[in-house]
Amino acid sequence: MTNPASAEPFGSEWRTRIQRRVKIRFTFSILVFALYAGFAGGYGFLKSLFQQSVFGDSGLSFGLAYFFSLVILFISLEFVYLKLVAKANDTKGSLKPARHITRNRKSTDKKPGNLHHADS
Amino acid sequence: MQILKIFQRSALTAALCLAFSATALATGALEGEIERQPLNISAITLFVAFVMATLGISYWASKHTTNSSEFYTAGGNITGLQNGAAIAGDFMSAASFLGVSGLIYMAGFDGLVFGLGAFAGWPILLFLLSERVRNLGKFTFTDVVATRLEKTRTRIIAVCGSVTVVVLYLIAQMVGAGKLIELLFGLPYEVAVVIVSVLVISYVAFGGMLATTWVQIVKAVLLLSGITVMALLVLNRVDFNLNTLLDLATARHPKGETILAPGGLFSDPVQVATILVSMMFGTLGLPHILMRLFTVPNVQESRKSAFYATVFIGYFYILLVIVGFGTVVYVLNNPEYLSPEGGLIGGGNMAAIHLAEALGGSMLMGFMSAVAFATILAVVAGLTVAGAAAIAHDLYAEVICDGRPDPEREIKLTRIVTLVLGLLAVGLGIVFQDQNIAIIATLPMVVAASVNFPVLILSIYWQGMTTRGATAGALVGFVSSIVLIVVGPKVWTAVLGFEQALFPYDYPALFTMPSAFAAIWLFSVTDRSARGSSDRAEFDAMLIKAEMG
Repeated sequence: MTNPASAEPFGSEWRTRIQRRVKIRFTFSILVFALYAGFAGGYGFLKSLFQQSVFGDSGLSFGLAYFFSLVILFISLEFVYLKLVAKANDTKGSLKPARHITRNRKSTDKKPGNLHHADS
Repeated sequence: MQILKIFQRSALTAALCLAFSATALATGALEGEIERQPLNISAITLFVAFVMATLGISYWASKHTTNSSEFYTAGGNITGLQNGAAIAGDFMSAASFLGVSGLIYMAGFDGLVFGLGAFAGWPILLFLLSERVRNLGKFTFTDVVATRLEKTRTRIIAVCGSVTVVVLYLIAQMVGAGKLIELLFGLPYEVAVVIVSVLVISYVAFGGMLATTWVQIVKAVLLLSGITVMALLVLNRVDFNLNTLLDLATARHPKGETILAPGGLFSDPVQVATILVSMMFGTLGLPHILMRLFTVPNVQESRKSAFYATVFIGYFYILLVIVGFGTVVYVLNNPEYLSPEGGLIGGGNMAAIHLAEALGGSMLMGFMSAVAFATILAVVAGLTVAGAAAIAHDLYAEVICDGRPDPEREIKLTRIVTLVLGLLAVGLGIVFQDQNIAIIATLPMVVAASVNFPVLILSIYWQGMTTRGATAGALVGFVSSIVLIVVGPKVWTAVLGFEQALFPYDYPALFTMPSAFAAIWLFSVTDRSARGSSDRAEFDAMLIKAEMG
């Protein structure tokens, strides 16, 4: 349903870059959801695993270890994501459409920070 | 046997009463009779010092708060690190500290469900929202949703979602605050509510977002420092050996080794999933949290904000586990903290405060009590700014004045709304003091997850969403949330007295959020109106702004 006139200014390279960004965002998010769902699994199909000790007789259960690991993993994933985004911006140039697109955009903006021209 | 019975009763009460937001954790756990503590002089002294410092900050901030941008977003001049600390300060409530540690004290491992739920939304905030929301919005998340959709209708539904969440969250906070302060400081409930309200009005009306940010930063630093000291003192007693701590905990807890594994409070994985979903996606729809993304100068700082917030909140919850098991070892069975009936003096929420006294004497206990009070102020201040922005900016400036308000009138209105919200908070806090806070506290997170989040995420990622779809989705999310909570155990059985709830789960977001998504999809794909075509056509223009700023 995309309006062809509106879609026209987007070059394929620009679209590819946006798609890559979105892919990275959703890949990281899905990883987080999967790991998070694993915790809920500790109350179902992973229950017996969550009850076991990690090292022999130690008090540290797999469930507790999973909790600690999740916190650290989530922070690590965020760190990797930040690095990936920074690297993408540094090495491949920032995400900028062709000059005529920005010109077009400026002319359609009524005021800075507002894209409500369709509301009028 | 008696202790075991007390634990079983406490666990059942907690399971029924605890709501899933950080706020709710405290408020829910504060259900029932509150045993007022003797006047805590050292805590009050430390708290007065905090208040003086934060009022000084507000005075300083008031000199830098002259227009709406400075009021709502501190002029966008907060750095990523500062904003991350402020977000953490906004989110790590007294509830997280007292509620989660109290749950670990009562049930062990299952207390972590709430801790993880409160933490897990942050990575998603970074990956999916921090960039596009920052680039598209000006002051509130409503700005983002209204970017390509029909302005008036979209803003009205988003404002309804925001105000509902803010007011319900505010009621829960105020009732929780009153009871908590009664518990910690020995002050009467009404006095506590008025003190909180007067201080928050002072911070927000004069210092706006700048003062609120710094109050939240100071509070975050104090809370993280306090919990670090407590965790270190606990670990020091067990020679920094976590296994020794856990072994001692299982040896002293009536539930034994089961406290280290799932099952203490919840046995149904669906029940756990409902809590986890509600908490994760509720966090992503909280207007006062989303608003913080606009206080930084650019998208890089926005990303850093989310990252630092995750680090601070993750650090907090890791230490909280140590503190939680510390309460089992050093508070449970300690006759100093037990009432003649065998229960913990002040109830389960006092476990961490008693632990502070056991570890560091009255000074540390006073410090942690003062931090808990400061925490409430920071959270309520953040909510008040979000509520004021929703009404003065989204409704007045953007809808009534069509985006061209008189700046002086807008800022004046913002201050009036702040005052009204403060007075409303006192009124509602007093009116609702005997109500079931768990119900009130459940609503904002479920509404945020079922109304705000679906509309927000689809507006920025799905070209097909139209104004009609957004309106239908918000309506379905809102109505289904209310209906399922009413027919759920918290209202249907606990309040209305029916034998069995029609809907078995306390936290319906697992069902209401997909319903909202489905409604948005259905009403959008069947939308053949001119407005619908225009909404879709605007997506590409929005994409440029979302990705480039």
